[in-house]
Amino acid sequence: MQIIRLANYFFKSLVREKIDLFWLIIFPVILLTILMLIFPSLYEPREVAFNLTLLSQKGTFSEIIERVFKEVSKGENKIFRLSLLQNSEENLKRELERLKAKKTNLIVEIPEGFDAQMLNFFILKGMGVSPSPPVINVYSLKHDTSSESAYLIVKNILEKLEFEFIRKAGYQLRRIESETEVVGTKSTFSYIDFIYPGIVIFVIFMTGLFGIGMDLVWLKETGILKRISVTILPKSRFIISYIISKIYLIIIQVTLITLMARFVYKTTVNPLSLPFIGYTALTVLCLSSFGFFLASVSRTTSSANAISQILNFPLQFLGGIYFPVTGVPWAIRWIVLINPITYLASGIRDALGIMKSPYPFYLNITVPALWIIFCLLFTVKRFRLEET
Amino acid sequence: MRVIWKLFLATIKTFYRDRMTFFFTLIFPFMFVIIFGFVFGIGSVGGDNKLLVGVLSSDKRLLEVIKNIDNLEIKEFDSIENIRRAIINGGIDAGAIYDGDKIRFILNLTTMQRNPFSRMLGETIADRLTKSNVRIDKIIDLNLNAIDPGRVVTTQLGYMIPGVVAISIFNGALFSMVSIFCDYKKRGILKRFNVTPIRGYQFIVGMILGKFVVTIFSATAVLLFSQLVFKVQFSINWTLYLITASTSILGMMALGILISSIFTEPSVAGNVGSLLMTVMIFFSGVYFPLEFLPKYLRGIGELLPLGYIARSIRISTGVESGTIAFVLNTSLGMIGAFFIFVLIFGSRLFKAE
Repeated sequence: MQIIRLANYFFKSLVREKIDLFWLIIFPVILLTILMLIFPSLYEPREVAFNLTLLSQKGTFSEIIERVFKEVSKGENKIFRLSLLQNSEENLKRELERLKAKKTNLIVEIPEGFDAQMLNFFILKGMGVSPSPPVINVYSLKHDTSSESAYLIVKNILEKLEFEFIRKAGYQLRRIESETEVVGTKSTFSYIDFIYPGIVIFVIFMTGLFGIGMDLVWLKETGILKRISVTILPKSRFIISYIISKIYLIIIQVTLITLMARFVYKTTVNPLSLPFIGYTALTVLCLSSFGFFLASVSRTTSSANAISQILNFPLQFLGGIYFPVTGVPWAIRWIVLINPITYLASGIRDALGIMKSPYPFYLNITVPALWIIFCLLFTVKRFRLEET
Repeated sequence: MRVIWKLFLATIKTFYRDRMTFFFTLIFPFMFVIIFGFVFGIGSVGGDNKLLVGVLSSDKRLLEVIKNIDNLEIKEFDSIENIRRAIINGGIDAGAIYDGDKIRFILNLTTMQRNPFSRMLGETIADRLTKSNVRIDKIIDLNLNAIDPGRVVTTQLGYMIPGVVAISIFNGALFSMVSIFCDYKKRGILKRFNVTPIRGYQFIVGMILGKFVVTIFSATAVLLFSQLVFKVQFSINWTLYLITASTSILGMMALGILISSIFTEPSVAGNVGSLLMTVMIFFSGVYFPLEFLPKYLRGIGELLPLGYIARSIRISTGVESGTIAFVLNTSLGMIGAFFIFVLIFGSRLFKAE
């Protein structure tokens, strides 16, 4: 009973700290919203229309190409905002300037003599010769995602157009179909299913680092821990109450994120499934012990703050919370491999059928477990040393 | 003048002693360069981004077809399971399996992350294979000319670094003002200065000058250090760079002063600053392209000053082409904001003590 009363007291004092409440409860919700605004549009671009300049020539084949581009630049679901110009040196020069200024995303230039080359190509092909294909010049802008994407779409459209040309030339074609699968995911990839367990790990990590680590250092720095140690309250009860109060917080955090993911973003992940609960419990144990470890190595809140900031970003971003980190160079792969978040995130996603883990099941459990053992042993030893 | 000089020196010393400001101004931006640089498939020197495709097919034409597609390399496999495993482990980027009837194209999320349109590759391979049935590889040869946006040929990482410098400026300038006008106030430092012969303007000028020098030094260190470590090419127009960096620091200081005058509690002001930083990092177009976002979000991105600072620095370092007028207009806007906010809020904050 005393344990629960004490846990309630700790929790109440946490609730009074509005800043902590903001970063530990509200901020994860804001972050989930931001991520859901950005990443789904990156993985599956929708309602994007690129500015395309077509520098064309007169001629049958050029006009067919023109017609196709005009077709995909019509209506509400248009892919391009087409600017059709006669090909000339002056126009090309001006459009290249516009490309550099990002006023157009891509320039497609049908060069002079294109039609004659096309005719030539089919005549020679009919005679059994393998002529080199006629060239269309495309100008894209480096480091510009829109330009690179527009190029890929143009490439795809022209590949399709080639079929029409082949058929018109009298060839019989049996089309080979294709099927694309994003490996390790469910039937279709859904960013919310991917990010939801990641955000759950993120909130627990924040609680471990700042809610436990920083908080304990503050208690240590202000002498509260020392004062508690001279009271009749057994240390074990204090620690259990403290942990329970943090579990209250984690339950609130996870519930809020779950409600958001479930009802706003329609995740298909079942938060009551055994794998989800199991991995969440492992995450709580692992990342809370990280907090205790931080508290044991820091003497002041300012040093604890500096250490947690240095750990915070690399462990978050290189743990695969927001995006997968397989196949990164060795310069940073070692951080990925020693990072417990990597295994927690992979394990939870694998267990829920969201994405196959690149690591075997036993590693997903043992690496976080080893971190728990190391952090707790280190903390106990360090606190004992401090007492003596 | 001596007072201002002393305050200026003291501010510089304080910066290197204050671990958090030091971390957020110097270490934090560089850490992000490394993480995002490597994760999003940008090597230290290359910008090639070739995809390694695992192939399983008894029809050898598939190998030829994939070899002929730009930026694809092949590796042969003996079973679908091995291909899947290699993709999951990151050994290969994608897999193509042909059973004589249809192409099955498999890729992982990392590949999609590096190239969102890589999921169209399966269709391209199938189309090329179809055409190879009539012994035609391609009818139209697309000759791609990728134009460098600036005066200098640089990698994707080189293009990203000026944006990181902009973040460094944002952090250094904004948080330094929060520290002066909220933290110093809360700790009674401003009050103590008020009872000394030091005048308000001397204090503000000395402090701002110190923070200004520290921030410009840190931002330039991030730029030059990244250039050295990742061997990226810049063609820095130092006059333009210094104009951009200096005025941006002043502009972001103005934002810091505004936040400090609205949120007088240092921890609240600091947290508002951090929240603003998070929003700017995601929506300023430095790390993530804004082009694919819904229109209203792009509109928000266009309102944020960080995007303008980043572009001005890209123009100054030669990685993006743009008019000097753009850089000067941005600089003018920043100076305007600085004088307005310092005159209105800065003196008010000091007088309130």
